Amino acid sequence: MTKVKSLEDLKKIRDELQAKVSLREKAEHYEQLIQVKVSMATCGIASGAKETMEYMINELDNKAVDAVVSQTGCMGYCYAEPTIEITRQGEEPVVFGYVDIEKAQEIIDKYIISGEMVDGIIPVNYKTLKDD
Amino acid sequence: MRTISEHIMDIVQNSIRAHAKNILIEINAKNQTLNIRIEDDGNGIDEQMLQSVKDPFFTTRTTRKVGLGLPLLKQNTVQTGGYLNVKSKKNVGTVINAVFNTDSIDCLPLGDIYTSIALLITGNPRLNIDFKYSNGSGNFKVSSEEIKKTLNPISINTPKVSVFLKELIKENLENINVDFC
Repeated sequence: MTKVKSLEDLKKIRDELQAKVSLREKAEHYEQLIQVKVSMATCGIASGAKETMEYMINELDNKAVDAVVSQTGCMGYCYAEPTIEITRQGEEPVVFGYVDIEKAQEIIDKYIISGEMVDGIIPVNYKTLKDD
Repeated sequence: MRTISEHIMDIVQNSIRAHAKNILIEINAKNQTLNIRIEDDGNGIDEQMLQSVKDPFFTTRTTRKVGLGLPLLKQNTVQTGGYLNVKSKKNVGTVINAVFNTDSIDCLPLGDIYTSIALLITGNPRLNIDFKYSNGSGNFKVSSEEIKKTLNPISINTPKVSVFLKELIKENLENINVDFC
C-alpha cells in the first residue's frame, strides 16, 4: 500500500514556505498580501464558485503569487455570480462578476500580477435590495 | 446543487453567518445511507424561526428575498426517501442532520468532498472546522486546529497549503474506499 499524505508532510510545506523570505515577512503584515475573497453562498456555489476558487488557488500556487484566498458570504450580487473581491496592497477592494475559469485566468494574469484593470468590475455604487 | 459536497459547503456558510467559531462536519456512510451532521456553536435559531427555515421564501438576509440553502438540501434528501432535521437553541448552536438513501436512483453523488473540505478549512482561517468521515472500512478526521498548529506561522489560506490539504484528504479517503461518484 502506498503511503498517504499526513500532517508530517505539511511540516515540509511549512518549512518550504518559511524559507521564502517574502512570505514570512508578509505573514506578519497580513495586509501586504494580495487578498482574494470568493463569494460562496447558495447562489455562488450553484454558479460554480467552487470551481472558480479551486482554479484560482491552483493557478496562484503555480505562479507562486503571494496571495491568500478566503471565502465570504453572499455579497448581494447574485445575478453576477460567481463574484470575487480582490484587494491589492494599499488599494481599494475591487469586485468582479461572472468569474468563470477563463475570467479567473484573465484576472490573475492582468489584475493580480500586474495591476492592470480588466472588464467585469461591479461598480461600488451598485445597490443591492437593501444594504445591511 | 449538483453534489452532496456542494450542499455541505453551502450549509456551512449558514453557520459562518451565524458567527460560529467551531463547526463539526461529520459524514457517516453505512448500510446504503449517508448521514451528514453539521454542528455549530453559532447564534442558533429561535423556535419560531425554526418553523420557517425550510421555506424557500424565508431568509434573514436583507440583500435578497429568498433563502434556498436548506430547502434545496431538504428536497434532495426527501427525494431519496431520506430526511432533513434541524435542531437549534438560541445562543447555543445548531445541528443539521441530512440523511440520504444512497441506493435511490435520485441520490446525488457525494462529489469531490476533499475539495469542499479543503476550501472550507483554508478559506475560513478564523474558524475551527473539524471534519470526520467514517464508513465500514474505517475513518478519517482532520481539523483546522491541528493544521494551523503545524503550519504556524504560515497562514492557512496560502494557496500551496490548500492544494496540499486537498490531496491529503483525497488520499486518506481513497484509502478507506470512499466512493466519490
